[in-house]
Amino acid sequence: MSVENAPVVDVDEAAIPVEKKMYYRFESNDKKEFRVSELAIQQSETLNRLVEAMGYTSEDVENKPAIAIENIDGKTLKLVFQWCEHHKGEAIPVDDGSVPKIVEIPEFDAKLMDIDNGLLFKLIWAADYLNIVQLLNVSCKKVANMAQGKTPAQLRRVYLLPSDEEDEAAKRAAQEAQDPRAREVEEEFEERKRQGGNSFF
Amino acid sequence: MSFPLRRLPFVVLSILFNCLTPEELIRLSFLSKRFYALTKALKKKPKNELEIYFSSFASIGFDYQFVVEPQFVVSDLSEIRENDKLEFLVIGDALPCFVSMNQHTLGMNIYCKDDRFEGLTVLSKYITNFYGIQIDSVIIGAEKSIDDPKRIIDWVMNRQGSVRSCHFECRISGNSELRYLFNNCKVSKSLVIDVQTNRRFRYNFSYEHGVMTIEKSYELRRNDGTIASIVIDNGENENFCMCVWPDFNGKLYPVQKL
Repeated sequence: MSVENAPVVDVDEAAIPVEKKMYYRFESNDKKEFRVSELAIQQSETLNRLVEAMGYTSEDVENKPAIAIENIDGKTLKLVFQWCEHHKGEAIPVDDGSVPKIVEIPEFDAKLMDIDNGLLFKLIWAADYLNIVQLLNVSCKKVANMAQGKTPAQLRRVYLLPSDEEDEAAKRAAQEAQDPRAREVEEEFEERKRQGGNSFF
Repeated sequence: MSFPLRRLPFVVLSILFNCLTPEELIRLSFLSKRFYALTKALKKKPKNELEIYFSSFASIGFDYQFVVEPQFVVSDLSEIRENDKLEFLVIGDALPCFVSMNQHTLGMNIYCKDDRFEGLTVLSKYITNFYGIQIDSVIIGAEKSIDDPKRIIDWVMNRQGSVRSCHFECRISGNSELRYLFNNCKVSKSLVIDVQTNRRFRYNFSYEHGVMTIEKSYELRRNDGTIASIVIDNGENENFCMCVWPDFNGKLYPVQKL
C-alpha cells in the first residue's frame, strides 16, 4: 500500500507509552548520595560504561545500594553532577588539534568553578577520573588563565612550582626520611669513590 | 591564591599546557630544569609562525592573525624603565637577565647585560629548541645600527639556511644593505623591501628555477620607454607579478610599439 492510500488514524498521544526517565544513584566517599539522570551520566565515559556494564533496571536502582565512587568526596561530586545535568545531551567534544586549545568557558561553568583552588584541584581530578572531557577542558582552561600576564616569579607562586635547588633538597629529605641506612651506604660509597678504592663491601 | 600544578596527573597537565599560549608556556618553562623538561615533553607544536623583529626594538614571538604585540622584547640594561618591576632570571643556563611584564601587551621585557642581539639569539635558540621549530620570518631594519641587518641575516642563514618570509626596512642609505640582503638571505616565500636606494641602484637576480611564461598580461610603459608586463595571478593570494623588459637573456618586449 502506498503512503497516499494508507488510512488516516487519529493518534491519542496520551496512549503512547512514554519511556520512563532513568536515574542512577551514586555515593561519594563521605557517604553522600546523588540521583543522576541517565542522559547526564553520558557526559562521563567512565560512569556511562559502568552503568552499561551493570545493566540496572529502574527497580535495581531503587532496591540495590547506590554505586559507590570511592575516591571523590560529596562536595566535589555535587559539582560534577551539577555540571553533567546542565550539559546533558551535549556532544562530547573531539580534540581538533588547535594549539593553543580553543576552549570557551560558558557562564554556567564559570559560576560553577567560582570556588577555591583546593576544590578546583579536586574537581579537575574528578573530571579526569570520571573522564568528563569538556569539564576537564574548561577546568584546565580556568587554571591556564591564571598564567595571563604573570612573570616567572609570579607563576612560581601561583602554581607552587619549586626551583631546581628546592626540588633537590626535597628529594634528599624524602630519601633520608624513607631509609636512613640507604643514605649512609650512599655516603660511604661516595667516600670510597673519592679515595679511589675498588672494593666496597 | 595558589594552585598545586605539579600534583596533577600528566594527562591533565598535557591538556592544561595546551590551553596556554606558546609564550605563556615558555615563561613557565623558565622556572626550573625539571619543569622545562616536563613542559617540553607534554607540549604540542603551535601552528603559528615564529617571527623575529630586529630594528628599532628586538623581539621574538608567534605570529597571531591581527595581533601585532611583541611577546618577548629583548633590550640592553640601559633601556630599563623607571617603573619596571624587575625580576632576575637565568634563561636556559645561558642568559642572565632582568625581566618584567608589560601589562598592556602581556608581553615580557627581557633586559640583558650583553647587547640585545646576543640576548635575542640565545632566546631564539631556546624557543626553537623547545618547540623543535625553525624561524619562519624575519623583519629587519637599521633604525638602531646600520650593522643590524647584516648581523641578523648572517645569524639566521648560518643556523637554518633560509626563511619563509623576510621584510626589510632601511631608510638610512640602503644600497649596500640591500645588496647584502639579496646576496645572502634566502627567502622561500615572501620578500618585502622598503628601502631608500639611490636612483642608479641595480641588481641582477639569477633565478635557479625555470623560465616564467607569460600567457596573458597588461603592459605599462614609463616615460623613458621602459616596458613592464603585469601578470595577474588571481589564485589563493591574488598576487600580481611585474616583469620589466628586457628579460635576463636581453630579449626585448616582443610587441609592436604601444
